[in-house]
Amino acid sequence: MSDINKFIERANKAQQLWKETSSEQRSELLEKVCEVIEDKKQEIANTFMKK
Amino acid sequence: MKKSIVEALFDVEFTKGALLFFAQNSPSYLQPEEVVHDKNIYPNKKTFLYFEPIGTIAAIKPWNFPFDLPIWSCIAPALMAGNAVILKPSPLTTKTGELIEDIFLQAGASEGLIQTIIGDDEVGKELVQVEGIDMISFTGSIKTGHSIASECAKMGKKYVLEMGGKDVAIVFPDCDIKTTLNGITMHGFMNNGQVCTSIERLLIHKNIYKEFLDKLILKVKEITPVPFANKNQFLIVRKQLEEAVQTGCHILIGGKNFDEDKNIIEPTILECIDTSLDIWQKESFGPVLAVRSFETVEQVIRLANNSIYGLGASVWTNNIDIFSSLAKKLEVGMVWQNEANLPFLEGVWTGWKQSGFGVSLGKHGTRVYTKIKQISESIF
Repeated sequence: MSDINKFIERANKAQQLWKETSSEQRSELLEKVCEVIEDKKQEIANTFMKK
Repeated sequence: MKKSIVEALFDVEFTKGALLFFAQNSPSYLQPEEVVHDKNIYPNKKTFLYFEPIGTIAAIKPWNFPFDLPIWSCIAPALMAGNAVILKPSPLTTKTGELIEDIFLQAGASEGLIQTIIGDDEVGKELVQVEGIDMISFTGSIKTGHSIASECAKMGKKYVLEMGGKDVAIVFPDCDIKTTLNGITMHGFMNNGQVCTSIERLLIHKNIYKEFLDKLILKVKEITPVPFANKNQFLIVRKQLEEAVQTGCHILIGGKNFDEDKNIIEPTILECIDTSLDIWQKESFGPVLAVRSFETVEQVIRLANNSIYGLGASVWTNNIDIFSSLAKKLEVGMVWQNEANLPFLEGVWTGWKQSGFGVSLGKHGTRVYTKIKQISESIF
């Protein structure tokens, strides 16, 4: 259980701060994620496509 | 999981669309909602519903759509609603899972907000049973879904489940033949049938039955067989086919020449009158289509609804009256006319009966990651 508990501890801590963010900040993160995906799309596809 | 470059890049593009959709629309879905009181009964009450985050959510997700599915079904809406997410990908697609965490970190997510945990079913079980996880978002088998639901009930955790399907396609004589052939071939055999909304049951009106099937067989012949994602799935589908033949089903195409080394089963269509057989009742998750004819609308409703599953259904007709009356009576979460397996970001992705519990996508798929709090003021 100890390993999972570390994950949970980090998640709970991050969530305490995240829940106080504005919807604009949350939207911004998702938009930024989109940009990173665009830059890495071939690398992403490579993880689950035929070589 | 091995997809073609076209399929893989489609999944990536779909993910981007979903992220932008939730970024743009979730804020309005999460606005507090004023309750409309009857002023004669409550003249001095002002009441609002607030959509509060649940906390930390564990997303237990499968191998067939390892990148897009965790993000559109859970991570994007859950984050917009103020939650943190721990993703447990399938052991077959750990690299994709790890990349999801990396991408969020690179985009500026704080440490811990999105984490990927690697492990087998035991880790999944721990996530369900451990204190500190507030909700499970699961996509996978009925068996695992059932045990998650009962464990969550004991712990007072929330859950949303998508547990597969046995989607039916219903073909009427007035359909556009070309559209219908293309749609059924694509959605019956895409991704080797390893899609929860794959068409696995085909009901064709008797007036068009032979003509349509002959054309479908020709089209299915053109498909290049591809390997299953894993041996286990290959063995399950092969056994299902062998049993179907033993119990009187008639193979129209495929169903032979199993390649054990490569885990390949040829795209297969079986004619089977008795819809109580496993080939009609159990999810195949492979390139297998069971087919029979029907005569009346009443009969086809009975045949279509004779299933423990209720994810999607497609009706192939240009007659809107036939479509509408049928659509209302089908016991499924999603019905499409002259289409199949089409997700709308602004709609819902949901199954009835054993296909699921709860909703993904759209307003409902955002609010599923919230707790509703009602706050009522007294006005003096």
